[in-house]
Amino acid sequence: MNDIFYISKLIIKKKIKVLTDAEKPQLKQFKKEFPFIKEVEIEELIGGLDSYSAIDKEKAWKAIEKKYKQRNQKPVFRLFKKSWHKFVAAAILVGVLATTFYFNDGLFNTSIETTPTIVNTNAIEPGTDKATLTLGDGSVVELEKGSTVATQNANSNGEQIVYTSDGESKSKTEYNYLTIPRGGQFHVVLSDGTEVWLNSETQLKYPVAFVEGQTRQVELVYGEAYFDVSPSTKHKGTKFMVINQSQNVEVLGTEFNIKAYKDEENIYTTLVEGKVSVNTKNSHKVLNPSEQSNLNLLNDGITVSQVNVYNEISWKDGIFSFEQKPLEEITKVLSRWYDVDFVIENKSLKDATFTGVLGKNQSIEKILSNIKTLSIIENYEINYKTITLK
Amino acid sequence: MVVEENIIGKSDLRQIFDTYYEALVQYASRFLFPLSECEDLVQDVFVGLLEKENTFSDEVSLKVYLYKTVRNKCYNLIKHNKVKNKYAENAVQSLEDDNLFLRQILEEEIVRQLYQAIECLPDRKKQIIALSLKGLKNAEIAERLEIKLQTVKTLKSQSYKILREQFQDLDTVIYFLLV
Repeated sequence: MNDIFYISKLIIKKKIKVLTDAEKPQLKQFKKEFPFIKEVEIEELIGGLDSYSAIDKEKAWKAIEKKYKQRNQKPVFRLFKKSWHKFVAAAILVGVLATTFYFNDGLFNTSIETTPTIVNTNAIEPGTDKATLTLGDGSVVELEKGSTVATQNANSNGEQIVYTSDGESKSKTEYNYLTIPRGGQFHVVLSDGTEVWLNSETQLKYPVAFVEGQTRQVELVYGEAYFDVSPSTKHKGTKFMVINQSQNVEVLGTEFNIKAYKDEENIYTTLVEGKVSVNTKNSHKVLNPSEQSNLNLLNDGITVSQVNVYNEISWKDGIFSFEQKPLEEITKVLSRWYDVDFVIENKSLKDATFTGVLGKNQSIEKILSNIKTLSIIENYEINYKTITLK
Repeated sequence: MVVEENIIGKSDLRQIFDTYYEALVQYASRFLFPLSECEDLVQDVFVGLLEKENTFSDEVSLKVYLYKTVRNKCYNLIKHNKVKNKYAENAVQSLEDDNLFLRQILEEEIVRQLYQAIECLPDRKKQIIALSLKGLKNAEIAERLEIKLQTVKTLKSQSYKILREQFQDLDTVIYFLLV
């Protein structure tokens, strides 16, 4: 293994044409020993330089010192217990502090100092827990952090609403609506124990109690929601179904995410665990874990692909995670959470792709200035609720 | 206790960190996502170095230790992760492959050394040399950066000179003594 480090030098020397006559046969010999050397191409590795320069080493060193101090002063305590929430925990602890964004096709930073124009940013805040609850009789209740609300069938502490589970309804069902505005998010526990996380700009329609022995059906009117469905086995084998104007998703008991925004031409359904069937007028697809179906609303075509599940569902745990996502798509996500509008002035930026992680509690300015520091955008302008990227 | 002069210990940690941090993070990012998770993992490796009384007889054995530790941590993390997907399966497979491990280190070490060799250059020269190493011709570089062809030629030859100086005086002799 020790040879590898020496070989790396030889390869670089060969590339920059300073390999000596004595070293040439050495490299040849190593190629025999490690055939993969022939496949290593410097040209293809150069992209890595950008990733290196995107790493904030000072911050990392401070984090190391801090961790060392914490561990050696008091007993180690764990914030999160187990499972993939650890993933999220780690991302929150580091990611929130450091907006790690790197640009895939850029080179090193050529920092030209331009000052952003900012007109009254007080109006822009990260989103919070809030929703509007519409009851069966049409009356409306605002749910917001700090206010407790109790209806006939449910209780809310302003962060979530929990429906009582006793007694499945046998007669005509009453429906409630939860409407999440831009800049909001909410969590609901339905009467069967199914949990739903609702993202910004989303509306969900559901019965206050499900009819015994019948398919449990809710409607994602629009927006994005993550479902952790209470298994059929607990409900006399009844299926759970999420309907939408263009598709329905049939499940037995599982976790999945549906993204069906009004301003997008696609509906994405991502399966985390279990099995679901996505049905449209003309076709139906069965998804396996970590598969995502993409329903194109323009031609009604549906395709299935493998995705990194974490990126699709991290929003419900306070993180936006993007992997190779176009800037335009990212601005859509940000505009929903910060309730702002984006204008991309430099059209070539639209298709630029990004990889990065953002904590949802960061200020929009912090995010923008980070993107600017990386020379991804030259400058930005904030004018009340409109952000222009230049 | 005998203290040898060329032993690498705690007091050198900052320098070790400066030299290898990015490379280790990038190596981890071949298996783990997001990047913050990779950074966290590599930071833990350094915290471990601070906590334990590790000394290394030379830089190569230190490097071997760093890459191997990151590899093991990645492996354990993915193995015990609840979200089992194809991505994780692939990552586990490639982490188990020793030959692939060598190749990945080779690649990372190449990028690391090139990065450090050109880090000191001004931005423009960095851009030019990166594009040139990527295989672009002078005219293509000029077009990409919107600068004159002659400027590309001048800056490029200056940059290569600096780069070559850094790799030319390699201690081949010492190497043969080590093996």
